[in-house]
Amino acid sequence: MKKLLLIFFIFILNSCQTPLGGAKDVENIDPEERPGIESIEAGLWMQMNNYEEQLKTSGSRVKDKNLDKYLKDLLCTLTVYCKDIRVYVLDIPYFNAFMAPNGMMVVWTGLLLRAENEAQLSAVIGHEAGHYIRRHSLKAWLDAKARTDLMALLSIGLAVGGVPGGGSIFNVTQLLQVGIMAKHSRDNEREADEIGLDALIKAGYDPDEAPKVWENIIKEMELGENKKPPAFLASHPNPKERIKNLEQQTKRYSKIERKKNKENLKKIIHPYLKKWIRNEIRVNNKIEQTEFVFSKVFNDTNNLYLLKFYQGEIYRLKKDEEKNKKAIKLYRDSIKENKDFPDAYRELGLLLLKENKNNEAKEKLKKYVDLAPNAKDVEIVKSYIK
Amino acid sequence: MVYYIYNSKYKLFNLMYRTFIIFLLFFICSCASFNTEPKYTIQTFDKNNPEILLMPIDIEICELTLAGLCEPNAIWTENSRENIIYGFKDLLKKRNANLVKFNKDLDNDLLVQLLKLHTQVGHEIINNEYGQYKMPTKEKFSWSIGKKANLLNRNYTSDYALFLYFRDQYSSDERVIYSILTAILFPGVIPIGGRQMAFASLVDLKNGDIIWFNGYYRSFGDVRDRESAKKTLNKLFEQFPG
Repeated sequence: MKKLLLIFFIFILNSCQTPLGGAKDVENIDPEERPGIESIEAGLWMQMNNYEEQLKTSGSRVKDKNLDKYLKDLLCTLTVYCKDIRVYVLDIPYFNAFMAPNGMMVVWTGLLLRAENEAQLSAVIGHEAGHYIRRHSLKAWLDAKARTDLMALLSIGLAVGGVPGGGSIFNVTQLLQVGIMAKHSRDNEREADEIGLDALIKAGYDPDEAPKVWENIIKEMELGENKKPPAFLASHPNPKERIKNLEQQTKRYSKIERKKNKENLKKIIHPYLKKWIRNEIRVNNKIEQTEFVFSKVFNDTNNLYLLKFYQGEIYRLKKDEEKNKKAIKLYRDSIKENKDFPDAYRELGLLLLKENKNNEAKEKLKKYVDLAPNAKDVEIVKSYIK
Repeated sequence: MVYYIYNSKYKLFNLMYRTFIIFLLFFICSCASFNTEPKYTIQTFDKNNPEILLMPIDIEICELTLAGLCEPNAIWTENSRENIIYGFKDLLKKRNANLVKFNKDLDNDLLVQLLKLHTQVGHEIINNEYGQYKMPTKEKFSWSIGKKANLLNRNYTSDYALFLYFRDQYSSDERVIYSILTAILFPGVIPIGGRQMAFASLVDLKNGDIIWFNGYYRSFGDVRDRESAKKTLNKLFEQFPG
């Protein structure tokens, strides 16, 4: 009887369409190449095309022609896969970007806020384009399929073979699966890094900016309560290794331009800055984390007043008496840096009212009304002064 | 007989018995699917030869891998879409209604929003009308996707629009063999086979009201060839007006 089952078992093993090794020989996709309709890849594309249609009209999408054009142009300076990849921005205050098999790239606003300059943003976009070029989604799917098939077959195989304690062996295979999965995805990340860096250097951006993206994220996480890096980093090579790889890669290029293009990026995201900063505060991370993010957003000396002001906002929005005092101090610092920034006067005035320092509060609010006579809330503020 | 079953000397018989039970369970399972009755507010159309606008069908068909992952299949999906359109056209002819196919190039944003809305409303209808989450105060069948549906008639002059949501899975050969093997080795454990879920709404384009709705969830049925698709559509479009 066992023999009969084993024959069945072997039959299944042989009938598997995917070799159990997974996706070893997946080749790069060519520019403007489309998968044949009968391929597995076509199925993945179909599903993502449907998803993309829905994403286009999603309420979270930042629809801005300037921003879209900026990202598209950036993509086209980095890669020849310009016609194959579409970039969408979603208004979500976390650091994230991902690539779908069909060329749909999604960037979250939390990433645009954190990128210190165009070189850093290019590092991420080039990296994601690398996933597309190397067909990593297809690879991941084939791997997942092979892994789950193997698991399923092992569970039968163990039962057929009558291995004592088969249950615990089953657990071991599960652990193995997880290990293999992490390793595979780390390999994919390394490949994407390589392609991204090549693109970055060829486009004349400073390659030293690439690892800074990851260093900043690690630092931000270490300041939080949960000191572990975010889950997606578990599947990424560690930053030190990335830096080492990067140094070796840059050696291949004799002459390297080192443009960072900070102003371009800052100009394009400027209309959204206030909103994204508010969203960042609402995430309610530890104060030190949010402060760290803001220190990178406003790292120019002429932006110091904004840094102080938004630091004040972090403390004020924690709604705590002690923190209010700290906020008041930060608003005062902001005013010291820039005497004509109305928002600082308003928030300072309103907080001073709470502290019952009415005279000084009225003086600050008056200043606000003088500086921003057309603000929407000017009438309300005037009523406080009376 | 009991003697035979429990005597280890008769392993083969034991196995056959198990197999029989498994097939019995398979059979029972395939019958015990989530099956519904059509809901409607009209039984005949308001006028003769009404025009029905067929919205792009929200369809995805996949193949279950050995372990049960759902691998989307583009060619099956495209064929099934064509079969459904063909079958629906045929069905309408018998009901004296004319079918108009949607032109995707017109108003794409509006289209996508309406399709998204219908998918949401459709799931709610299933929960409320057929499922456990029935709203206690909602006695009559009265659902709508809103007046904005009439915006479709900027480009068409249809009386109604038909929305169709379709998901289907088919087991791969490996999956079938694996299921049988597992069933033999671990009685009582049956890996899930393919499931078909579908729902359709007929929307009055004057006000966006859903005047007919039907949906089901079952583990049989096929739409990959014209004949099977016809049978599936007959089931889905039970008591369709006209």
